[in-house]
Amino acid sequence: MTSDAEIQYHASGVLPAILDRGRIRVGITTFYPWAMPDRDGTWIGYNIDIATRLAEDMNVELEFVPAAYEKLNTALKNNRFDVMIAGTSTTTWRNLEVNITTPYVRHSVSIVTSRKLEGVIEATDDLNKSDVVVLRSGLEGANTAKRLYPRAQDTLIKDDAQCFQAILDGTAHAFHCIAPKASLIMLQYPDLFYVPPALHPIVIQQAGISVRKGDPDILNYLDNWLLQHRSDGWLEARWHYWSKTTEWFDRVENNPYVLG
Amino acid sequence: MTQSAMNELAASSVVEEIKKLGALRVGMWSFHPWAMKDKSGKWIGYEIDVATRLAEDFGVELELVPTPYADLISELQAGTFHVIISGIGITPERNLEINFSIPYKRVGVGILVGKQHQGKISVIADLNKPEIKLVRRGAAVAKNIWRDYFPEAQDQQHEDDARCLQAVLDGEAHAIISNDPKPHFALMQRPDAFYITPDLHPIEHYRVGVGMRKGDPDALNLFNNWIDQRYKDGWLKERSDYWNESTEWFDQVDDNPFLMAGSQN
Repeated sequence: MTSDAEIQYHASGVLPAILDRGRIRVGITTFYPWAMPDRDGTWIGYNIDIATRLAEDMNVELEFVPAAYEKLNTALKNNRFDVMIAGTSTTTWRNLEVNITTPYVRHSVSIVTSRKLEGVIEATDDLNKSDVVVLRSGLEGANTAKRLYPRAQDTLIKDDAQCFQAILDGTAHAFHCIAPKASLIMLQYPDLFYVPPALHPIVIQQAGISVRKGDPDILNYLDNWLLQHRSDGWLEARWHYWSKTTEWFDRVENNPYVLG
Repeated sequence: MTQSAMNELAASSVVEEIKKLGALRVGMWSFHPWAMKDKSGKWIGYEIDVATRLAEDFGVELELVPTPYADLISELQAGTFHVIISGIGITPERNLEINFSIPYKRVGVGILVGKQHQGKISVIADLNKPEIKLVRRGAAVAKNIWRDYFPEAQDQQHEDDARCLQAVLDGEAHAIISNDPKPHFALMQRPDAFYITPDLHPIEHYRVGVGMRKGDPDALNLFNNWIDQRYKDGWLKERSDYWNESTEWFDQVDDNPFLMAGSQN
């Protein structure tokens, strides 16, 4: 290969690198039911389905590179993996660091409360009181909390199971959580929990695949790949399986939707 | 080194320039109700809200760079500011010069008819006749609407919107071809003098995007995702409705071209 051609080749970014290697390295992070180990320790979940299908369609091997949620951006920028399929919401602060494709899921943020508080917590006004404790398990809900119920005691507990337990124990009033948590806990315990219809959803978020900046070709490839699987219904079918059914509950241990 | 070309492209992106400078420099020009001076001389309007929120979400300062409309594209290319946020419609001609984000606003273009013609003028065919006089503000405004839909009608042009509206009030013209929100505000204030029909308003839409320099995929990705987010959370619609559907802001400006003589407001 001449050096000019080489420059041109390398200018086209991570896509030829993946094909050349015959393997795509996908950054993921543990996040039920997006990416979690099954009883044999194999990764399963919605993000895992997407990564698996992507590798299949590209006809390359798949390698997962798990990273802590807070380290995902840096790991991507440091080339520890090729793309990041980690269910991260498309936000401007993240987009200043990395590029993000069109969404592979639009998911809602909802409020879960105790069945005992049905009629008491029904609207954002009911949350916006200084004696109300609203939990969230992810960092990205902070702005929403500030905007919609600034007076409430916004409390971060990074464990979903603990959040659900606190609602049952009455130590917190509401759990601000991203889909599909509200749907799944209601499928499992309709008598214990309550999702006020007016607070389902309170915000819509979307998640896309993140890639390194300066690489227009991978964005074009992934955006069109997503368009294809949005059109053929595959993305929705997989999201339905993980977010609206309990069929996969048997496959995992430490399921935050099955309370001890 | 496989990463070098990519790194170079990323490093040359305006996104890095904005982060480094700690400020978003926006090229814009006065255009009611998109960008206008309030009574104290401060810029307000839909575009100003968009630019302000963008800078806020980026975590940087906002610098508005007022630039005559005709010079916006050349000044963007010269690097005078980072992006254009100035109500410029996405057209293939402009897109040969600069890149556009996905639209952050859709603008209806249509016909506002003099009340005395109600019942006689309600569809496009009623206006595409040699005896019909259509008025527009200047040769450039809605030129394609006149050419594509009403080539048989007489084309009148006036310097400003007030004069166009007056021509219809005085019976010198049958109707005005105009961009939103003018027809809306005229109708709100003088329902006795004007009307619209679903067939005549809007006839078409044009779309407005953020203008950016070419060769910058990172900037496109960032602005597109920002616009998509602000659509999904309802913020863009809320701001657009405030400036285009309500008269709440009328008190904040002098020389409001939408404020009509003889109106109740």
